Amino acid sequence: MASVSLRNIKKIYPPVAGEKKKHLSPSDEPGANLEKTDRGIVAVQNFNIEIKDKEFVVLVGPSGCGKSTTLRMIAGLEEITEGELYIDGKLVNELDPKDRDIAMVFQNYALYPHMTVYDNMAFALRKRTSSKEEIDRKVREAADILGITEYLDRKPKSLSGGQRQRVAIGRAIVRNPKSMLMDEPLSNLDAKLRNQMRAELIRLRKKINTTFIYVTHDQTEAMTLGDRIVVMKDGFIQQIGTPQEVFDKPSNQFVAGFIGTPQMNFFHAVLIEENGHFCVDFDGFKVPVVDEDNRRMKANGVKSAPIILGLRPDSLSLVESDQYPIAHVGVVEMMGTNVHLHLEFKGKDIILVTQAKDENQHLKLDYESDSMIHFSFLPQSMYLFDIETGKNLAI
Amino acid sequence: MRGVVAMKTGATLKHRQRVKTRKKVFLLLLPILLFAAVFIYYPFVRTVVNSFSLVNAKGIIKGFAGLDNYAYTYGRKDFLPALRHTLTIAAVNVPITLFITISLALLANKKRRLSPVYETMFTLPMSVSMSAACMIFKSMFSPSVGFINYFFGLKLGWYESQETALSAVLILTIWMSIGFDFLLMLSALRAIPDQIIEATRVDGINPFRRIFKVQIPLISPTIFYVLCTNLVLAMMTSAPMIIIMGVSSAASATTTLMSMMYQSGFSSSDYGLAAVLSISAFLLTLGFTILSFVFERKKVHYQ
Repeated sequence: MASVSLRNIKKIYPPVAGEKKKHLSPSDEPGANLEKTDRGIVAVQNFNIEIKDKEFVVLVGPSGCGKSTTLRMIAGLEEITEGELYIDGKLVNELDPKDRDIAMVFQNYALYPHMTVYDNMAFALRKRTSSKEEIDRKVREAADILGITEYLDRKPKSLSGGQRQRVAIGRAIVRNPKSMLMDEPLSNLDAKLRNQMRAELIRLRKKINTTFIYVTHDQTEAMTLGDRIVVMKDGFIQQIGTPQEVFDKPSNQFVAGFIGTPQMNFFHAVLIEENGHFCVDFDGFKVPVVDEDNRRMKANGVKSAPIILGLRPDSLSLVESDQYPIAHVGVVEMMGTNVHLHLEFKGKDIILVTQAKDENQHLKLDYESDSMIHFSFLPQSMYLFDIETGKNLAI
Repeated sequence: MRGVVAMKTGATLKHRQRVKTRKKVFLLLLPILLFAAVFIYYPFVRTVVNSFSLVNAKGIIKGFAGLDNYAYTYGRKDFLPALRHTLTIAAVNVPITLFITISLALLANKKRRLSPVYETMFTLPMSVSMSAACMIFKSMFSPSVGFINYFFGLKLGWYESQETALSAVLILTIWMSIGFDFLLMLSALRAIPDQIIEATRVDGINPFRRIFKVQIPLISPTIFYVLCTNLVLAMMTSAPMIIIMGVSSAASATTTLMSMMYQSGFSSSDYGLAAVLSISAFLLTLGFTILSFVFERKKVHYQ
């Protein structure tokens, strides 16, 4: 039950002495775009967020973006180079992890392999002068919530991945921590189990009602679990917002591409101002910008210029008329309800998602690879980004 | 019909192939089997045979002696002291070596800038051969000009005195085992996943409990290995007695079963006595090893 605030948090990893220069092309390793200073590699900078009591915040981003480092700084496992970290209004920068009243769930579970499930959960409680009965009650309560009561006498190695993860969560919740930190807790599970555990986490959260800070690279987890999402890249926060905000109003091209699956399509286009109204010139087709966006862009002082046009795959639709842009069908992926069409348009690969069946539940069979199709989109589905900075022009 | 025939030939082919692989395996094993037969099994069997035989000074069996050799050996007045020294060395050496190497490994566990320096320093005893170490320690322990008496301001006789001779030998044997055992302990500690240690930090486990409840149980297979090998090595200690104590007046204060066997076998050519001593030492070591396997079942956690 704690608020957590991070103010201007920065993490610099000092250069490792004697480390050989790797001859990889810079973009090959994660974190290659991180800023390098005399003091080392800047893994996280300018990190500011006020996490409210009982809020579920998800840090999401590609590998090497600094999300795990941030979580480890909150846990106290990693030193904070600059900035202040407050838990419940108390500055905790110099505090040991044990004094921060946090619990952490690790990606590889980090269970004590030589202890039974019961001992794994009771281990941290034993020092806290609580009586045997109380420890027993707490362990059994947590085991009950997580449905692992029958495994209490087993060792972790005889459990499946999902069961181990439950034990790891159990070990965290028995201590009734002020905040729960989770570092990619579902990444080691297979897809089916991951979906199942995701749903369980949502249920669990309702039961234990504490502050959650959750790290993942999976945008689906971020969207479904978080009250708020923090999208990170190269050590910087790109956007903080509710899942809906981040999806509907991505602050820049990176967030737009990262959140949502399949990925948003990006096109080169030109923004033209005509009689005080913006429209987008897309491959010779003029599409007017909707009024709301028009107003905001005016307020932002946007000028006519080449831009990046973003269109989500499901906002593209197939049309019969040859008045519309034409694309070549590459691969057709039948997903059941939907069909993903991989199209080639002006040398670019784009994805279009459409219904597999028509209103009468008849399969539409006209998606053949190697054919040509026409597509269209609605003006309100357009996302407009600055061609240089990638910033969303309409927010 | 044809199918059956085909199957039959297929089966014999397979069989032939299996015989072929077996032959190959045996051929590949032949060198080590020959080596073991000549240098391990034959001497062992010969020792057992010798212990029940009348053997002359040339090592030739002259007749069956029954248990005479055993009665003679166990009746000698220097047998019990030798047994006591052997057990003392094992009883002191093994726990102290374990304690020192685990402590050093815990201290060196964290990777620091200077890690390679003290890792090398702690493992240096490995690079010294037993006989060289004996010579070095002999000069260091020298009562008159030795470094140890000088440095600590002592006036001890070390290997020249009945009271201190065994301590000098113990210090040397412990020092000898530190290097390799430290290396084993350190690699075992470093093999514990970082996240488990981090979990103890987040869980608020104090360092004392972390060491005794997490780290030591997790390196218990290595501790067990070190325990077994050290036990055997300690029971078989003989080089310091021969090299350092050889001509000392206090030699009898450090005689072990093994050094006694060496003396009787090589100096006095009493092969019957030597055989009984080696078999006694063997049985003793075997007993302790079995005991430590009982300990293994209770205390060792394999991942």
